[in-house]
Amino acid sequence: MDLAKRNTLNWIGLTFTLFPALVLMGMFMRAIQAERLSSAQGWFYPIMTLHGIGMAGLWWVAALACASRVLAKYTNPSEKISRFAIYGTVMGVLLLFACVFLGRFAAGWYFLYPLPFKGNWPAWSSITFLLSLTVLGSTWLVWTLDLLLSIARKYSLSEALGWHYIRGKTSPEVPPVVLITTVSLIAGVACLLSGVIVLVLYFYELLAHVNNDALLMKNLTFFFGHLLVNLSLYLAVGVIYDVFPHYTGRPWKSNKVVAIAWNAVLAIVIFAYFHHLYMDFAQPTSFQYIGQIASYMSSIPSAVVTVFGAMALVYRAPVKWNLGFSLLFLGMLGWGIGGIGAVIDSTIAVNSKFHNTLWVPAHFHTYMIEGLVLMVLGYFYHYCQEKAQITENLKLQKITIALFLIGGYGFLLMFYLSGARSVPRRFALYPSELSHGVFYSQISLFFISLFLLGLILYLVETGRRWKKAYAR
Amino acid sequence: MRARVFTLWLFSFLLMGPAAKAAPATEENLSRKSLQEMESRPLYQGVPDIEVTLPQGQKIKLSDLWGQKPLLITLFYRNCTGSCSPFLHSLDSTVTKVGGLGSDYQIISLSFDPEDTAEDLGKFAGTLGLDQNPNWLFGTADPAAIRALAEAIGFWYKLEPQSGQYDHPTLLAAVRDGKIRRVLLGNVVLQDRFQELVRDMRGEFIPFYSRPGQKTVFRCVEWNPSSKSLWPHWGLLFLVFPGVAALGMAVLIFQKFHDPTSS
Repeated sequence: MDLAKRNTLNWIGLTFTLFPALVLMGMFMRAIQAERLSSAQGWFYPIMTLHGIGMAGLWWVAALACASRVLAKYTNPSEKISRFAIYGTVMGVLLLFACVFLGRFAAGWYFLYPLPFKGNWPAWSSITFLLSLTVLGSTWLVWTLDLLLSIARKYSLSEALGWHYIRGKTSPEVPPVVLITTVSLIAGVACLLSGVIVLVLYFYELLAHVNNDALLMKNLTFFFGHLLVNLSLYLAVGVIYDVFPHYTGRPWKSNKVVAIAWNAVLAIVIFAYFHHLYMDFAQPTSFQYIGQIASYMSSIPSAVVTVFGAMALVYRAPVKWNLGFSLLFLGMLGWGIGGIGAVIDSTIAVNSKFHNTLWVPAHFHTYMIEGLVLMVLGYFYHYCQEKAQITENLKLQKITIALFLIGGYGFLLMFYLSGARSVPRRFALYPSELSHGVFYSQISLFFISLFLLGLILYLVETGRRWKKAYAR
Repeated sequence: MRARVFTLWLFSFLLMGPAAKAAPATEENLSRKSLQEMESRPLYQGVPDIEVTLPQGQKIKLSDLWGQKPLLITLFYRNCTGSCSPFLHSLDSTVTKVGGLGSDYQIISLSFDPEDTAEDLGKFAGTLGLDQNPNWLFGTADPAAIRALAEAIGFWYKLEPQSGQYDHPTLLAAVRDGKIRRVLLGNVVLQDRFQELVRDMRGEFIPFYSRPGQKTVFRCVEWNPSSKSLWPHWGLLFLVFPGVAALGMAVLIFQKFHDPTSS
């Protein structure tokens, strides 16, 4: 088997192993909030940490794996570095498991300074956590740079960013996935470098016994964390531009509008994270306004261009709505829906009311579960089916999709309703005056079960194809 | 190829940070920590509403004062040969610079020495030039009441029989609505910390957290007490660097590795 195929199948296998485990961890937390597992509340925050950072990291590498595979149609990324990235990711994940399961590290996936140094967990678990991020971050930086390098070998920077389209020219033809991936990778380097700085500052404090500035650390942490999640979505959206024509039989090419929208992302996206600091009153006010404007400008143009383009492509096209295409399409819509939630959340007037309620996890779970996850799972199915060529049971696939939608959106609705009724986030158990939070958690357990059932059906369907593809 | 991968990884690993070891508890760390703890311990605790005797013999309750506006409380004694007078001078000087006395807060300085009479304290206030200031009061109280007040605000005192002097810290407690909102420890009342305290007393959110002796190398912003505004600090460069470096690296990679014949 060639290395490219093996790598992709390994990334898929890693995702299929970690994702169900992380979903179960999410369910575990909701079960505690639903007072079904109250006795396990001591594990709430360690599991919240692992669930959060695990999901963010997993879908970043999964989206990068998808982009890398699609990019390989046009460029020549190093498969050895992709394999190296798998090893580095597994090593980082093992360190993460060690600090959470053995050390009960529980600083949350934001690991906001100075929490890693202030908890009741042993010092070694904090250091293991930081080392885990160091391994993951350095590995991903190498992989990101290599993908950028593969694009650079074939395209000049202005071509890869589609600037000739903006100038009114149409050649050379640059596939949208190359343009979007270039934008995402350049911003990805900035994201990972901010992660480098925040880790260096943590280690500097450990070694030199100085204090860090909490505001600076929070800025850097969200520069890294917000961008990582944001770019995971963009990488997956880039893949959609390349896969949709396969199903619709219509080309989806770069043009002036697409180039402008995605260059706007590159210019603005690194300022959007300021919206995470609206409640940090020490942050200069001008930054807060920049955060709101950047959040609007970096998401709305790209989403409008993509959703409109996708609709035009699908409209009256002879599409086979199999599991792969359906998930890609619904994932793109979920990205749009979650994006609306995110834009609302980034509005200062709204954020000042909803901040730290369950409305916040509601919106980011929307674009993750019903956006990014569906897009990536859709592509993984598409890839495995392409390699395995197994006859498709469309009825079973429709049931799977229905379970993903009903389970996923039902689960999200409970978050939204809780947030609207002021149920705070990050509470393991709710006090009596917030007993409605318990009620919503209980209902959400039902919807998570539906989603899990859908996931099992998906894993059976795609797993069969993955196994056959591996055997070939 | 394998060597290239390893070199790249090693480079990134080193870039991400060296192996760490646990920080030993240095004396400075400990003293800073204990200062923070001592200042934090009484916060949001209720203050006993004791009766105070003023130099003219007038009796008032502390709630009469904090019912009007926030109240800053200091404890001292008249015959102190150590820190009491320098501390009160420092407070007076900082109050003059920062302002707000009378409009935002009042001050009361109480003696914890049972030997001090209200009349003595009136004379003592005169030596500081504060006897005519209606917003800075001096007074005494029943020793048990003073003891209770001292405990509430985190103050302690102990008579050293040989010298006749009291062993005690210097402390300023800010009280709003009968609850302690801030405590400042130290012989010198630093202007920026007092500025924070005053803004806190006005009910404003305090967006900066400098502490004496805290070695914070890189900050996002720094508070300038004279201009009463935030100024950019070196740490902001860390927020600019990733974007600039990423663009620079992209330009470098595309310039160095682009092969025009492969398009």
